[in-house]
Amino acid sequence: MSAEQNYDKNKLKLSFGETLGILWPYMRDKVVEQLQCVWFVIAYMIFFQVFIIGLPIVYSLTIAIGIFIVILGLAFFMEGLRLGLMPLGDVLGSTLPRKKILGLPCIVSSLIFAFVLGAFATFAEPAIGVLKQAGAGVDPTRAPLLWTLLNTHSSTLVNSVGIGVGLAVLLGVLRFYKGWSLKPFIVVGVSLLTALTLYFQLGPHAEVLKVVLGLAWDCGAVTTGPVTVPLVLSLGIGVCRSVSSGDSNNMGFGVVTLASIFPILAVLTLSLVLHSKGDYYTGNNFSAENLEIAKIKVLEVKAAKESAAAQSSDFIPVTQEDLASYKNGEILPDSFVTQIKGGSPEIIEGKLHLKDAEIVYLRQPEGATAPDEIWKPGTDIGELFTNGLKFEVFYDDVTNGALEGALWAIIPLCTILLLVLILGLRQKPKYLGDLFVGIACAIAGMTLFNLGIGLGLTPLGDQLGANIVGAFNAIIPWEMNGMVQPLFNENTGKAVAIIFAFILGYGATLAEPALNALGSTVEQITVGAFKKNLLMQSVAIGVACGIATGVAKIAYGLELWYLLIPPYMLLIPITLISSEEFVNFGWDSAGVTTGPITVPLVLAMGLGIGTKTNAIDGFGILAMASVGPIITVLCVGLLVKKKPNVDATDIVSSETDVKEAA
Amino acid sequence: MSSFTQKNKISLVFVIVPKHMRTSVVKLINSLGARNVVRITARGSQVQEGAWFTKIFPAPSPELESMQILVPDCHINHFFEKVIEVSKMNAAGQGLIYSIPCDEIDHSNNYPVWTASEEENSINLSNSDHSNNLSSIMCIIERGGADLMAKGAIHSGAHGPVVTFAEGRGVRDKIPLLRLTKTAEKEFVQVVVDDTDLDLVFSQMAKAGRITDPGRGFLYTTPVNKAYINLPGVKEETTHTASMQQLIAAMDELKGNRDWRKRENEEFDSKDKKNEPVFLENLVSLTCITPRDQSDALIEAALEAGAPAASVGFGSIKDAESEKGADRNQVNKEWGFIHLAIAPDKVDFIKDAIKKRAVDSNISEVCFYVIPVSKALTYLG
Repeated sequence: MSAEQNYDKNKLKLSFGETLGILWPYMRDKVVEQLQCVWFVIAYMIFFQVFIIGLPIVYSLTIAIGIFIVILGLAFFMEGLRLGLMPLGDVLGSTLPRKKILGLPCIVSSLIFAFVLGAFATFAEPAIGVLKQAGAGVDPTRAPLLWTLLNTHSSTLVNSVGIGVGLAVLLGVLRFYKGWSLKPFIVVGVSLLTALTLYFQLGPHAEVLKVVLGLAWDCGAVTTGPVTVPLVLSLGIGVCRSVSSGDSNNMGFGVVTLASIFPILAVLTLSLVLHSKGDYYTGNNFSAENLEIAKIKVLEVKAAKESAAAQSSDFIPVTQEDLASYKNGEILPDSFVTQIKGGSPEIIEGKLHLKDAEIVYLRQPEGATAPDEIWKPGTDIGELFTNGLKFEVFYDDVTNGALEGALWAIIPLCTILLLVLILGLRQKPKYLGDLFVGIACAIAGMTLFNLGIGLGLTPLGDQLGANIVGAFNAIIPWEMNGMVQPLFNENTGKAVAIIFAFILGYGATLAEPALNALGSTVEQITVGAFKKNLLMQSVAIGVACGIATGVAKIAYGLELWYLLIPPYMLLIPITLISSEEFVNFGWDSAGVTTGPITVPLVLAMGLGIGTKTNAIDGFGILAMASVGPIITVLCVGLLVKKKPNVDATDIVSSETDVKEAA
Repeated sequence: MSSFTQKNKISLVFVIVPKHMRTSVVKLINSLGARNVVRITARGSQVQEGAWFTKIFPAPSPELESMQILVPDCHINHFFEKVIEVSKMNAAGQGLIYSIPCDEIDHSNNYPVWTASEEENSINLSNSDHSNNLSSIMCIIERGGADLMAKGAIHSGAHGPVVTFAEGRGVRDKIPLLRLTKTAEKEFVQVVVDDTDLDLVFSQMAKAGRITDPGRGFLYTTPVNKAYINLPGVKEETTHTASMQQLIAAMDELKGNRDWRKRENEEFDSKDKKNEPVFLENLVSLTCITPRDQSDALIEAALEAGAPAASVGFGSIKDAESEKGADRNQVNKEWGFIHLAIAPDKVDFIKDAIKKRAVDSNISEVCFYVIPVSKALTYLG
């Protein structure tokens, strides 16, 4: 003990200046690091809005401050992961297989713990907010089952997704203990999903069931958030380090993959159950109170549609002044178009004449004016920051303040982990102080991050999402007055939107915190053999392709299953021939791509285009963004794969003489 | 309480094989009698040739497993033969095996070493005098620096260096909570070269890795007894009929020696004589192996006793006993090995301090070995 104290005395006393001298470059580096991740997508969006669409950025100050806060938040959060969450998961993972909890065998207690962790993670990072947003415009009469799942039965939905994720983490951990490969899980899981999807799409009850597909597949993409992924990854790595026998290639990856497949299964199963019980709007057993809610919703949707129709009328009324100047013989401005109505056609002297026709001049709207405010009116940072610690936790995180969202996402999970570690396993973490600093950093980071998203990314995403429609359709630009005409004809415009989506998806993915964490973990665990950049670039390109396809789906009203089934069918053979490492990395990266940066940017675009093309819902983009990266990562894996050693006897290798001392 | 046994005539052997060979090689080594195979995941380094997409999507480096074994000198030859045979190192296999003579080894009685039949009385066939024509260059450098060094080494003719991860200890741990702002992550680079190439490779690595920058790292060489090198340094297009290595080997054979490969070391010779690096000499490297959970206590002891800095790497030991264990869910034991570079006259003092701490903290498995350092280079104030 005396030696311990002696050592403490050795600690350096730092002056204030020295402290600053250490802190400043550190903080600067961290912020610069995040800036490098984020700048591309932000600069690209601003460039696109200003130079391609030709509209100014509305509420630029709010957005600028929001983005600054996002970068700050990311810097804190990533440090929080490095110092707090990941070491916690790792130490717990490596201790679980060594010590018993309450006398249970290690494997049993690990599995129970894994289930609880998985289920809890779902409640902590509720994806339901995102899904509700995507399904906001769902009309109960057109998609009764989907509406039911998202509204009256949303708690059942979250619970079943939670059970799905819990089972996934449980199986993932069992896999580590047994040293099983991930491939059979993928093949069985994907086959099952494909069969169910085909049944939903083509089976006898297709008209009710098929609309749920988008929700189900998107569920798989969004369930794993930036807190869950690093925790589950580091936990898996810890477990593997302890139990891996060296024969298997398990390194701790693969849980996220299962946590993406199982929720889809869970949602599809739940839909089948509800359908067979008739417990949905227009079903036989739908309860009366829920029916009331649905009826109100039907009216709301109807009203919203009518007002939208009224807004998007294509011309501006001509005023008395216009009439006066016209009568004075002035030429009409260019914005007037001529319409000819009625009349009876007949041929006179070889020419076609319209007799008694009516000539109408219509004034089309021209140009739009942006509001003068650069600060979004009604935006109160304090309100966005906290709602007074009133947790709206369970099924609707939309109303949570940034602080509450962060606390709810991090504190319960960390508490469970720490309790299991300290009380259950009786293992005191070595640097408890560091852990708490890390967790505090993570909470601060998450809070700032949520706040910045609300202030900056959401308005920017909404703006671009609404305005990109202007490429092929006349629109009233977001929060502006007036109307702009389509920039291109319909097909070119849609192509522009799809290309826009491609680059947006690429940039947003590079900024995703969960993917950054996954990339660093891969690099760390393979001792640098797999570079983070390799994974990030392949994933980003995959997401870009996926999102572009998803936007095409909405723009052209394609059926989701056309786009989902073929890639997954393609993936089964690719998975089977790929190396175990790339299978693990590739499939895991699918689960982490759709996080807090991509979703607000991409979803808004999907919804914006969806409303113009009369799509039922905005689902499907995220599911596509999930399958894209798996394909690219596996393909890159096959491309860069070392050629297997040629038959050993063929090559007499060089430089091989044993050197010995004389 | 644990008492320490001292041994001589033992060499530290590094066996580096591709990941897919590791299970069979470990099995073999255990069957040869070793009980202390420390296994660390490592990566090889290769300079890449190839099409444009290799720039955007760099191919993964070869995944290797590095094993360290303490082998009695009398077993060395047999050990080498067997390992080379099983790991197919002589054919197309990629691998590296080399031994470093240890000056002395101390281990606590609980530490698993070579199995009992120590064969002290068997005929000592082995070579106790050291060869002078091979050296190993080792380096501890900030995370991210290893690739630069590897490139420097490969371009000056060495095989692809082997890289493992480690953590640095020292001043950082004395900073209170603000230590969090400094990452302790280091990379450990090792490469075996011919003495004719030693100076060139050493200086190229020092230059590429900017080793003389403050706080950057520590580069040193140790003599090597025996080595068998078959690690490619260049990832080549498979369209070539012969690899660069095969060409070099063929030329070696034609010339009958390796002198033709000697190149002038222009970098340090010609320009700035003033800034010529000052090499540290008269150092030894003391390594201490102990279970990972307990390594921190021993590092503290070493630092208190006056070691300037320590670096610690982590690996697992799977000894012959646990192999036999029927329990499918056996757990691996993790070990930390603490490297210290110190002056020879301080070795005993620091060792004693660590031993004392080990006894105090009830650490029963500790092993020390000391290997000579020929020269070293780092930032000097």
